[in-house]
Amino acid sequence: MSEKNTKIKQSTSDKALRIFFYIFIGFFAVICLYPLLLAVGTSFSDEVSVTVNGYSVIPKKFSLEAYKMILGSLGKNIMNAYCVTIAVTVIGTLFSVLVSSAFAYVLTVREFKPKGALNMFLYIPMIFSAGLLPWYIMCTKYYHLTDKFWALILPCCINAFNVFLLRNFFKSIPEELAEAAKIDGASYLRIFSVIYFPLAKVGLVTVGLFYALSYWNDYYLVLMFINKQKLYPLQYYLYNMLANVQFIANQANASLGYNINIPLETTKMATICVTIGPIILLYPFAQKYITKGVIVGAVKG
Amino acid sequence: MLVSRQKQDSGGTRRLGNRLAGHFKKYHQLWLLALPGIIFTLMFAYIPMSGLVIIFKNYNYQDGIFGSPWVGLKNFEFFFANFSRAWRATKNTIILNLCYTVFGTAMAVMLAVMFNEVRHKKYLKATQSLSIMPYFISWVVAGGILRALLNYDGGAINNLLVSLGFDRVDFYNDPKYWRIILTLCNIWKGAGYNGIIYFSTIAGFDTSLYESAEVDGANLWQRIRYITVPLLKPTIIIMFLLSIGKIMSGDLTMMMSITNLSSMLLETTDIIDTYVYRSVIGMGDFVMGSAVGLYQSIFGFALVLFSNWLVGKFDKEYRLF
Repeated sequence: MSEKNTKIKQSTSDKALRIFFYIFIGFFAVICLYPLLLAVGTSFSDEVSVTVNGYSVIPKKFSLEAYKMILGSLGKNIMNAYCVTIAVTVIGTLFSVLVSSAFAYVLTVREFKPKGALNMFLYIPMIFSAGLLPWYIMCTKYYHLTDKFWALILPCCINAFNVFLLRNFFKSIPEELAEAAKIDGASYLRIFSVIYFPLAKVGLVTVGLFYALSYWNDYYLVLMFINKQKLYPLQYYLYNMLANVQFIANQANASLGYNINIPLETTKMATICVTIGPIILLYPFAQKYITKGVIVGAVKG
Repeated sequence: MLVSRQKQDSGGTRRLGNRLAGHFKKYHQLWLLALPGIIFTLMFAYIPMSGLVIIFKNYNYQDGIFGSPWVGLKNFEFFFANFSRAWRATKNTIILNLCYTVFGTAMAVMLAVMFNEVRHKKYLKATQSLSIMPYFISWVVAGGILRALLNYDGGAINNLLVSLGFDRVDFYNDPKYWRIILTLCNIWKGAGYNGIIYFSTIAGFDTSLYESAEVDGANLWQRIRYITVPLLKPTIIIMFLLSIGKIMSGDLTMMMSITNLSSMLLETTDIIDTYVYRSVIGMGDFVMGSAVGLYQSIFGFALVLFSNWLVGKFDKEYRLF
């Protein structure tokens, strides 16, 4: 009788603890989402109501003024920034996936002895780097990357973590396939392009998404190398907008030719929404791959 | 004697040459595949390391890294004469990294343990996807939204404080809040992601341990306290030790996006990376920038070796090299 009692007691305390866990996790998830909602809500608000009542998730007074601003007087420059970002993301991702998967494949060929050394070669920069200054001088003075489109891609085109992630995906492909192809006389190039590349589709998509996100979000390379406004990607455009009130005013007036009242805060938030828009839209599709990638990558980084 | 030895040597070289030729004949396609990766890693990771010699040079842009005149240890004299500002940057870097690691890991492990107890698949999926979302938002966007939260007028947090009857806080003009704010930002952005990594580690644990514990009457709390946490301990310790190797490095883009390098906040937010950036790219002061940069690299390297040694003491298998 008493034994039964303790069992029930235990299960109710377990239940209480579990409910606490559910609430805590839910709370954390809401905190992760709330700032984004705040940006969306503010972007659809009337500027005056934001200055008076502050930022809010639900617009006090609905207005599309900020988006009109983005499409109107800021339109040309934002469109240009958008195109730069898309070009960098698409070209960069394809390029990075090719370079990384070729390298990762080499690391999985068992009979290839120097693969240990290549592993190390890729790994060392992950833990030790020359630091900002020598890297910066090398890139600007010797590689002449200042104000070049490729400056936004090449310096970060191969990421060791992603290569190791791909290697783990490749390793899950049965080696017998490659062995059989080799006996049939297939070259390494052929084994890579016909067997490994198509069979590791999930891995390639996952790594592609990681690369795409890092190119989309990149701001470091622009900061270092780009001065021409024609080459400003979205992130850098946004940074200038947020950091420098004058920037946005100049942008608007330059194309209008006269002073107008700019809905400053709401325009900032609308630009934020435009910047993260594609990520949020793709997220439901991408997150399955990403979660998988996180887990595969964690097995052994 | 001498002649025969010479013969032997040249034979050895030839054999090595033959072996290399054979190796390339067999594997040239693999080298070709690896080549782009090798070139870019050399260009952007290894060759810049040679640039560290600027510490011994009076750098000027025209002559470049290798052409500038040598000045020996003069830069170090200058460095130590101006040490107080560099010291502040170093101190901030270390304190912030410690905060990120300790509180970030604590939060990630808590989330992982809790994720593991969720029995509703849909709830688990929904909360996990929301928790890792900030990881994919850029710091620029995060910094912009943070302004909407912390602004003196109209910021969501200040509005909340006012409605609760407190005074407004001028966050952007008071450095004392920023260690906490930056740590919270870091948790917001990374804890969900790291939580899922720990969660996948927990999912790999032997379930029979939990089953037998349940049969023995252990309640949920006891199972977490006496099974999950001890099993996670090695992973946590290793992650912690590895983070020691990175304690001197900082995130320039994060700091720029969040604080805009505001001079009001430098007291607690000036880290080594922002210091180097400000002195070199902002003020063109290569001497101080390169000295601090080198000092960061050298200490960083020493710390990597040290943490690796510690990890080896703890568990040989997790050593990096």
